[in-house]
Amino acid sequence: MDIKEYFEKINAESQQIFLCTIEEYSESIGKAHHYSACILDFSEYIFDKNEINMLCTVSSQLESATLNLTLGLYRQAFSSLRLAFEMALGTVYFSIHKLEHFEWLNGRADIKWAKLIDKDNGVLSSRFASAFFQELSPFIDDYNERASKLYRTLSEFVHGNNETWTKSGIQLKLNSVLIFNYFSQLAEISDIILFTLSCRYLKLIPQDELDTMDFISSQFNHIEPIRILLGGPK
Amino acid sequence: MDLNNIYMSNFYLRTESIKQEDILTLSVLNDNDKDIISALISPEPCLLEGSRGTGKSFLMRVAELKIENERKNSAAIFVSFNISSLINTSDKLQFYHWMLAKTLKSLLNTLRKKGLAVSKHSAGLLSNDDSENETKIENDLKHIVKSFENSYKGGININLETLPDIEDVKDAIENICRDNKLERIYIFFDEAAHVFRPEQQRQFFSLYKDLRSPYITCNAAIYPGVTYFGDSFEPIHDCIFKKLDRNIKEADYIDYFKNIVFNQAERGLKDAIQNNITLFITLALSCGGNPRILLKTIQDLQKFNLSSVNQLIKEFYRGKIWAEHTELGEKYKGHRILIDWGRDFLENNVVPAIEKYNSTRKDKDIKESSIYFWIHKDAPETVKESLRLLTYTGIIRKVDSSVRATRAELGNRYEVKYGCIIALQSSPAAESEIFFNSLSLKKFPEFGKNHPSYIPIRELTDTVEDESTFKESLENMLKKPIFVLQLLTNWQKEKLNEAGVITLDDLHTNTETDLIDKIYNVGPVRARLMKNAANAELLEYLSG
Repeated sequence: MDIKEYFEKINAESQQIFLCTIEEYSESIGKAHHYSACILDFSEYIFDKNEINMLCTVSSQLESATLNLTLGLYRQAFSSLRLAFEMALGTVYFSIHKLEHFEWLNGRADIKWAKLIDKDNGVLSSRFASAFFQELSPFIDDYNERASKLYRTLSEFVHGNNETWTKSGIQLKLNSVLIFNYFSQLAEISDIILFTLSCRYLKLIPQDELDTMDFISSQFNHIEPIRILLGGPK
Repeated sequence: MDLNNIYMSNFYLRTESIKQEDILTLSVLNDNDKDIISALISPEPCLLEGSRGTGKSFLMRVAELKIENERKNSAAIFVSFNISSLINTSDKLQFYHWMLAKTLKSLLNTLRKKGLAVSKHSAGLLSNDDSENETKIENDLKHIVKSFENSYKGGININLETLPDIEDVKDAIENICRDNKLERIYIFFDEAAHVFRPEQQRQFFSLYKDLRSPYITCNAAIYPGVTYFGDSFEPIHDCIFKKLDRNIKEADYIDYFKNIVFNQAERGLKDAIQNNITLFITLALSCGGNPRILLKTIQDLQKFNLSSVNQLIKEFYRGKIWAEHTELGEKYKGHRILIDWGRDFLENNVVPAIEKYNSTRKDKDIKESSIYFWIHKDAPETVKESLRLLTYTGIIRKVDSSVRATRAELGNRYEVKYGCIIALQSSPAAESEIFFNSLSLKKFPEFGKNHPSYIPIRELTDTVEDESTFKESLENMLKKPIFVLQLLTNWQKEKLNEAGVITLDDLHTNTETDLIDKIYNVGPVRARLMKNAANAELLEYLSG
């Protein structure tokens, strides 16, 4: 077997996993696509071009995370998920720290998770909510906690903690447990991203445009301040 | 730990506040609820009528989940028309298109979630292939939505003939179904008519009817008393009509409500309820079958003990419960006088009459009590309309019609919410058990066809605050000949014509006394009948 045949064999195995996954999990994949599309939809309501670009990247990262998953590349899927998560909250962080945003664009700064999630000054802090969407303050601590926990779990895959190798294995093989974990984590990440975007931008969007954000009202109908802002019942 | 001190502060009082994934865990269904759900997931369109807070949205959500989980070859979409987004146009067609666009947007979202449609933008992010076929569904629908949105936004002149019509929309939906092997798309309209003005409601029901197709089932939640269907829609013929009522006399009533509360309560509250079950029963009966009111009253309790429950029942059912009814007057301005009169009638006549009835029997040690009252079938139409408006909040409930009372006269029997009557006792919770056990549907004070309390609203003109606005909004109705009135016989119509009463306006401006004076053989009974026929027609249009 030469290197070409070797990779063709791996590809064939990966394609087998691909076919099984898209057949069995088409509905979950549909939901995953819906979430990434929602983030892209949200970017249409933002003015800053650089922020829009970042959200497009977030959306495509989520799509490629799912693509990796369908091919059986679970570790890569979780890594892409974390990257999308970080970049989405980074977008919101940069939207209020323009100097850092431009430094990042010029390659002279990184997105630092610790800053994003900081309980006093981060994008999921009471201070942040008080500034942009006061009524969401009571929900912030819960979202902050969930985001931190989720990020830790995803980081284990990125850093290659020993436990994650036993979970994902090294060989290409369909793994329904990891698939389940992936889709539930993607749903939670998307929820947190859309919540953070809502907290930052919703109050700045004119009422007639809010009217067209059906994807936000269906996602956050249970959060009263968002529901009321979008014209739902008290 | 004092269990009686534990109260619950975070009940879900609205279905909207519950995450979709928690709906089934919280659901408690009795036979009537199950019957309603079966109707909602049947191919026939269904209207679900219930007062505020009775759980219509909740049952629709359960039905939606049932379709999602059990019928993979169907799709369910949930549409809420939000107040702030309400398009402000008097153009009927524009409003119709607006509703259609909102509905199709929800459909697009659902199809995307189910993996049956792909967002063109997202697809383009990773793939260079810009094939139109890949995104056909989304494009077809998006194109239709865009055309509608452009037609009502920004005052652009649009050639209406170029817009897709309802048949195009139905074709698009049928194509989606065929392409994806979907048997049916269920559309759930929540609070459908509530956010709309009466004229908009009539437009809504016209859309509801137009959407009829072998591939589409429309369901909608509506309120009693304030829903206006218009001429083209007949709830009895055009759909399955279900009522969400919970009778306090039903054998499983208490268990049902206990389960609802226990599904949300923490351990401490559950223990407190178990230890004070008679207090709980009083609260459950007081809500008159309304879960939101029960949860709210328990949530507001300071302690789960006799004095707190007594105090709360008195405060809530004597006063606070009226807030929603009075607010109705703001929304339906044309009905404001009727709305306010209804409250006065209940507070100053009905409730005291029932109270007197009960206290007399109590004094005589007769084991009979009542929360019911009876109104003559020929009472003025305005009185009936006012009572209909009271059913919106559920303060009263129509039990049955054609009930015989004194001198074998026929009339409608109503129930006043249990809490509103028991709240009049000095210790409601202590007296509730005996009161409830002696409750008899056959005992009720009666209000005849000419009760003195009707005088302020006896004529429709008495209920009109602004005559010019009234005439304006009813212009088309008033011009109609009296021959459209199905409630009148041909003889009656001819007699009216002979007396110069040709149009609804003529009938409207003549009082009962005028009719008696002008028409031979017409006495008080026929005069009332004639006026009621016209008023029934006009009352619906009173608020525009």
